[in-house]
Amino acid sequence: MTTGATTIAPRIARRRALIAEGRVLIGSILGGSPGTGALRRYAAGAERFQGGVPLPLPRVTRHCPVLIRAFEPVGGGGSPLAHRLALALRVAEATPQGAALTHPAGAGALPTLIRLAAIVTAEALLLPLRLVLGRRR
Amino acid sequence: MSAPDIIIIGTGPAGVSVAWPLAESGLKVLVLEAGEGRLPRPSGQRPSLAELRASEEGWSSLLGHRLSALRDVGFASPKLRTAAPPGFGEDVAAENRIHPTGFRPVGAFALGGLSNLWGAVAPAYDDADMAGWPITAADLAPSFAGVAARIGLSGSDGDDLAAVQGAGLPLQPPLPAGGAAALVLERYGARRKEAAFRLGLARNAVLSADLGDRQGCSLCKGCMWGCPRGAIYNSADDAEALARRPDLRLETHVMVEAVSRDGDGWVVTARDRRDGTERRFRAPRVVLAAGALASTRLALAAMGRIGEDYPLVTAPCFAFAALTPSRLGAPLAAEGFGMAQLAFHLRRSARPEDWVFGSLYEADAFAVADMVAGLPLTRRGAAALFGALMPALLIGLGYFSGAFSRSRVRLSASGALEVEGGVAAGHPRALGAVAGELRRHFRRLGAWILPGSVQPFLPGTEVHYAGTLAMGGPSDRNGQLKDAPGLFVADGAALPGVSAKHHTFTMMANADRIGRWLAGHR
Repeated sequence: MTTGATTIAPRIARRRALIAEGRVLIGSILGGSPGTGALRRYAAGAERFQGGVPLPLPRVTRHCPVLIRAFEPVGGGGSPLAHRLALALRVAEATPQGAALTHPAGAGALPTLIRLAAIVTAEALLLPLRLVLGRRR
Repeated sequence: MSAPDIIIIGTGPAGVSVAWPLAESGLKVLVLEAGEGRLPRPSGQRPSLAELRASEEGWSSLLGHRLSALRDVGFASPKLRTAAPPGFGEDVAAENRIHPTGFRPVGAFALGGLSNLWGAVAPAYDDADMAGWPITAADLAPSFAGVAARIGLSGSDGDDLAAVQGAGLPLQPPLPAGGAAALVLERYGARRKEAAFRLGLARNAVLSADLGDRQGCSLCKGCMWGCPRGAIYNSADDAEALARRPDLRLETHVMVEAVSRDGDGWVVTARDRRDGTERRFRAPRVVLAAGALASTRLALAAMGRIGEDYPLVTAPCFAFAALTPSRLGAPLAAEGFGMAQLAFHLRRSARPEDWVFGSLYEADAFAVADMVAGLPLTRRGAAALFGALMPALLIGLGYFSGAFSRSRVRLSASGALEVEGGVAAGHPRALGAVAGELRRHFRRLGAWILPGSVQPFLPGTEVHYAGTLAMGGPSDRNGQLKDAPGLFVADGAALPGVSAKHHTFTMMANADRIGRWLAGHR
């Protein structure tokens, strides 16, 4: 019993940490809380295809996932955080909330242009922060 | 079945194409396949892509078997991630002893080979594409017609690209263009034509009507996640049909390691991939159709060609994104065809080696994660940006001719095939010039190629391989290796080159032609 508990406990702790990580990363993409199914799939994907070691995300992002956007590396395709964010996006777009973001219903040209302007403005404001905070992620 | 008259190695499009005329001639044929079986087909009850995306349960189809679509496959075919299980194709290079440098070899151990995942764009080569070959388009004509009838081609025989993609072939009605693709095609029809740029409906090996056991496309848009109806041609269907014939035997799990002369015939030495046991097969004649790289290694080893350089001709490929602003904010169509809807042909000069051929896709047929992978935005920003642009976005894939390829292969003393990828020194400049010309042509049609979106692929990723055992070079016009009588090559390795057009349909026609010749010359 003791042996089993000692081997299972770290796995459970690691799985919980991955789910907490998924809550931040998927939440930052969706702009809201992801469902438990999406979090389970994120953790399973991280374990199966990315080694399964949880990332040390900034503590502040646990309370406000959207803040992780300030830490996203610019063009950091090879960094651990970039790999996890790519995984989070694959999970997110396979949910109805994610599909509403990536494949929205037709909103008309003017609202779309306003939306595009908002996206570009937000990215421009975030860029200096990402260049500094995202360097070691 | 008693001793075979002929052995075919591989069940991809070339393998089955050479096998059909041989099996129909009454010869005893043994077909060897390294894979276990075909990839599982998605459930026939799978809803449309739009319904999958809107459903809480859609993830099970979108993320695939054991969440396989969550893995990273790099800058390669998106189908490799969304429609293939983990491990698919990953050990092919190692098991075939292919050592790449600056080249990404793509192969598959599965019944049907890479046709389980291909893009199915299927134009026919013409005499301009085959300049310098020991055969002409007329030599291939009966095989083009026969293969087209067997696999099912859909497309238009009356638009500006009909002649470029092959005239006079049996065609099913074209699959419709939708959204931004339909808009661009409509504008092309209304504008004054320029001789240098032609646009039309893509010619696809995808059924628009039922053919045998396969059903026509239902326009569910889910092509990138596999086709539940079998509308997209997969040579595994042919391999299974061939295996039901009395004079043909199909053996799977057989990894061929060497082909060597044995008296008047050939012995094939293989390993059973289930338990590692050695297996040996003998026949007077052997046809290599294991994929260009695997076939090349086997052939060079059989001929003892160690340390000699051979050209590997590929078609340097690039991707781009084009925006049709007038469709911003438009609703996305729930139904449509999820692969190449349009094709274009750019004639930059009178020389065919300067021509560029490509295809256009509606962006919403792809997973967003694949399209935004290289964007320097946050993932939320990138997903939202593509979401806002989606109804207006087209994804293009363009190909240069093999004249821009500088890849080479060499058999090492250890028996491995060393592959060095490369492109001509002038390729970057040519790509810049082509991007400029495409920008101008698409702008006339109301589509703007996005800045920075024109991206070349690493050599090998495009999987248009040819030239290593070229007819007229190491092999004769019937694919028989000049220094190894009785040993034939029928896959891409036998083609002397590749033009900018997709070569698979021509490779199949050539394999069929070789099969007919073998059947008539016993």
